[in-house]
Amino acid sequence: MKDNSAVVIIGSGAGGGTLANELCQKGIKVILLEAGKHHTIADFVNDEWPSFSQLAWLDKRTTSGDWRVAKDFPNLPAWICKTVGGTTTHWAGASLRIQDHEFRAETHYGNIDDANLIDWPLTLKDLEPYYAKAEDKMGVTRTNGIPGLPGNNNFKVMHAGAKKLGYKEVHTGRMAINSRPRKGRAACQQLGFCFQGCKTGAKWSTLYTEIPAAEATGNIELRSESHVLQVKHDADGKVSGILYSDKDGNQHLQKARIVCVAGNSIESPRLLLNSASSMYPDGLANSSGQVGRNYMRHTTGSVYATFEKPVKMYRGTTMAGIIADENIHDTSRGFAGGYELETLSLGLPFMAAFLDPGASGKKFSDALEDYDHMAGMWIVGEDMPQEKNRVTLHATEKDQHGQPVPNVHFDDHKNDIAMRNHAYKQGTMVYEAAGAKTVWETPPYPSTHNLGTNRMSTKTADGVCNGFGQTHDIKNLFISDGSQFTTGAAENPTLTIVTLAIRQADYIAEQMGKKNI
Amino acid sequence: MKNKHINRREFLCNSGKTLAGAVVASSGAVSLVFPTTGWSAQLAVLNEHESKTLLRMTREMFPHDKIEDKFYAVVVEALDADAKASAESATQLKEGIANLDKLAKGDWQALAADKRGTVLKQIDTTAFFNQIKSKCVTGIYNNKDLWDHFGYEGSSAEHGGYINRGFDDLDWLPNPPESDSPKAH
Repeated sequence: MKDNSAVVIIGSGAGGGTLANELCQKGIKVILLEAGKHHTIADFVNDEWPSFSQLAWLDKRTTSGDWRVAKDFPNLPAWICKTVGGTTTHWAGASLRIQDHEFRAETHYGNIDDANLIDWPLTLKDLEPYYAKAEDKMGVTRTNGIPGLPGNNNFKVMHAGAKKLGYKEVHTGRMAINSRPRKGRAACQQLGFCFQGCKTGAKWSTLYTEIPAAEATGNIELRSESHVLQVKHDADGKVSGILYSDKDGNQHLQKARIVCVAGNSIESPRLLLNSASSMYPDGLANSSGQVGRNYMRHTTGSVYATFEKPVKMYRGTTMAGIIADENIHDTSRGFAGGYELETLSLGLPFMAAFLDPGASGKKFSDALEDYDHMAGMWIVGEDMPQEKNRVTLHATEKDQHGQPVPNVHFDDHKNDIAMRNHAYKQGTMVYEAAGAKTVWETPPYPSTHNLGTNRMSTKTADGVCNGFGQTHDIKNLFISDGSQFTTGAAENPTLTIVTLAIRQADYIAEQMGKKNI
Repeated sequence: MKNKHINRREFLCNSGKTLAGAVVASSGAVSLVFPTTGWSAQLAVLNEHESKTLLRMTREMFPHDKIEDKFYAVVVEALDADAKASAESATQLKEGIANLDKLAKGDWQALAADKRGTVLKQIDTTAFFNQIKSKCVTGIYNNKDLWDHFGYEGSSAEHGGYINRGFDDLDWLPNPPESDSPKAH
């Protein structure tokens, strides 16, 4: 496929991998480029540090801002992946629909100081049929007649505390992890290593679902270890192809009819900025100046607690447990938007690194001494888009390809802080109700939910792309990952990324059919 | 079950006599020797005093009474390897230890426990302290030989996961109803 007939997709994760398969199923030729290696399930290891080396995106990045990640992990703003399948190898599987009011954040939350809030250019109603397709494709529990997962020890602690506190909606979640065999994938064996690549394939990942399905059509060419350096355009300003570096560092030009960018919310804006030309001096699709801005990462944090008796939280599905009651918009709590509390555990090696980064001393050692008596939960809440929170190109630092590395700037909004503090308090009360000895409020980890840096907007001045991810400036350039999110909402984003990719595929096919692109 | 048996080494450790036996200097070469465990390592850069200081420091920074000195010595060995690989790292360690003694107005190790802690607090934002801390976080908690002590079971895939091995064996709280937590299929 050396001519310009193919759709070139950059990134093989939830957005890119799904879009590739959806287009291939319609008979459209696709070239899928992935910067990382093509690992298989057999390569995955149940061992945190070696797995991290195997799957994580470790190219140099820098950080700034008041978030603690910039101090504790200055070169690791995000814990996301560089491998075929992208971060769907690492994700925990939680699959929740964004709520109607969250799609209309400006309308519902009003004018919040220093927040760059707008409504999405689409509604829940627009997405409902596509959410249904995504849930079926991914096999989300508690949808399509699929039973919920059985709760593990960590969930038992959460459930007991939450019920004592009066929470109503507490269950093992809507998870894209098979509770029984389905569509050629096994049932969950409760390994406890969801983050390290699922060894049974029970967890949905594009690596072993969408990508092989696309390959079976004969319409795809997957090029792994191919790092895209620039998106190229022609004299008319339409994109015409991409320049990429293969595993040996040789550069290639690949022509394209359409280019879809799905490299996650740090790499996607970086690529558009690195593609600046004389026609587009501020980078591609950036007439609004919004490329790289409004970076969101969810208002996260964790609560860990130790108990008199053993918990062994690390056994079983990591995130199959949710308290959903706080995921409402109720400003009497002192903030706009909502959050979920979801079970979470880390193995001992990562617990030592993340429980209280930079800590030492007896209190810290004592907590780890109680590791097998510990329960844990993660806070996932909506954070406010802010223009100043952004991905920019570093002025001096270059990566292995000689390109400027991305800097990720993030300052908490006061709404984020108020929400996090509320969630810490509620999480603490849950564990105290279950009999906790000590409780730890753990700061946010490097981000896995990276959103918003090429956002959708109705007005071209407010964002980068329209409701189909098509950029306002260049009609054959699309955004196909979480960077198109207009606001963060409170839900783990993968289900919505997949949903948008399915819908985008329909739109691209329709527009190609009409010869509009 | 946690494997927290008391042995001779631990007795020595808790009685404060272990350090003298753990670091052995002979004709200029320094070794970490633990005869009861059969583990030893020869150091390349650190001298006897520096090795003993680091052994004491690592334990005081991440105190686990029931963990043998040998495991802290593994961290010291790793720090020595860093010092061998990087002159910058070697200088940071040696100067950091000299500074610790300077703040202690003598041998930091010879101070009373509370005084040692006070001095450590004075340096806990230095690059030297951070270097040791980072090495401990991986050297202690990512040491598979210690996972049993902490009650961490490590890789489970080769054992078929926990579906039949106690993923839900917690019995000191009520079981959630099936509507919230269905039975395994």
